[in-house]
Amino acid sequence: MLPGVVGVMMATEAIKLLVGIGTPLIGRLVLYDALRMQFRELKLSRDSNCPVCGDKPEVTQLFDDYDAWYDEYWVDAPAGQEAAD
Amino acid sequence: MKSSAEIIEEVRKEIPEVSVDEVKAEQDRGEDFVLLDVRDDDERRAGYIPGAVHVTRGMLELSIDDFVNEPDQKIILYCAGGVRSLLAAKSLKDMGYTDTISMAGGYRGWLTAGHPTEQDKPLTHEQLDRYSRHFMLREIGETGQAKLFESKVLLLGAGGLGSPAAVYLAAAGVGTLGVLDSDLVEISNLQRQIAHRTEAIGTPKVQSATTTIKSLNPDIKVVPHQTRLKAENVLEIFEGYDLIVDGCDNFPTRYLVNDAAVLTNKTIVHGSISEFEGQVTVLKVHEGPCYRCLYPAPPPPGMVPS
Repeated sequence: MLPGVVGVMMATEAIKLLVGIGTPLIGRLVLYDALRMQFRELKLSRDSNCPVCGDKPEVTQLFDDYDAWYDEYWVDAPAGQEAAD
Repeated sequence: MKSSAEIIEEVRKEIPEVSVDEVKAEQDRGEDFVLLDVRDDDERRAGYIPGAVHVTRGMLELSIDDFVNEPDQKIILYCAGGVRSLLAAKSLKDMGYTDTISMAGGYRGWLTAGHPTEQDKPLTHEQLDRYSRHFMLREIGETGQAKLFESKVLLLGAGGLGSPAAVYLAAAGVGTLGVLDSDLVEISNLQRQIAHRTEAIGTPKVQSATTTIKSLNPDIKVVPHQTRLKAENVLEIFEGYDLIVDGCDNFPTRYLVNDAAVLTNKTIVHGSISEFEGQVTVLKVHEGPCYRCLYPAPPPPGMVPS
């Protein structure tokens, strides 16, 4: 059931963007908890230092292999670094 | 009893009129006014003035507050020849709208003057029936439906999230749906991946999703991509689409999709689920965060994505 709710919310956002109506879910994250049947919303902001979409992007082309990048990321990661959550 | 000519003459004394050239010039100067098309649906189908909102004269008093909130908002009305718009402007004035103007000469005059027009893609009788509930929603209407027909959406994954998204987008009349998935349908998928049927077990998900979409809505063009998204193919695949609906199930692909979307300026509708929780957001380049703004580092190995 849960994927249906989330997938239809995604389809709804798609339709709004395509037709150009309403307030799109840009800069907001909707969290859905099926067991409590609760929706929460988090405000999200852009990081102007983001390596990809920031004001001075470092990543201007794709990596060669994203699977390898992902597999190696934590191998070389500095000690104590935590995953952003 | 008054004749129609007498009524029109009376209203002309009260309602100002502007020429089609003045309206065009005001549009070009970017002046603040609502251009209101009060013709019937079939007249509008033949073409309309770009930027005009549409309320038929019959629905005018009932629907005007959907488009105009301030009573002193300037409203320029037009019809085919300039008579109905004059009477409609009078009705609005009687309701309390203080700045209502009729475009003399109407849409015919606009055409004769050679000013630009727009036309929605013509709909068949069957389509008029199929999407009739959309037409009742003023935010969608025939113009919105035409936009959906012309839209090209890429669904990444035809699984738990991609299935319902594909089914609803197809039902709503999104003209082109790309479906990307490299997997075959398994029986354990069927408990949630509603684009697939029991008889599709063992067949590619893109094929199964195509069958479901086509049987739901034969108008939809489905583009199957039976592949995994990689750095080598992502830019080429994204090129043909207006919007990316990302229901993929692994972290490397999410970062790949994000980076490719930023580089190609595509918006992502992002969704993910884990057990009983789900999340949705829209990632639009420079208007909000990208996936890397939110998650600069991928999660440590061992976390189960979905």
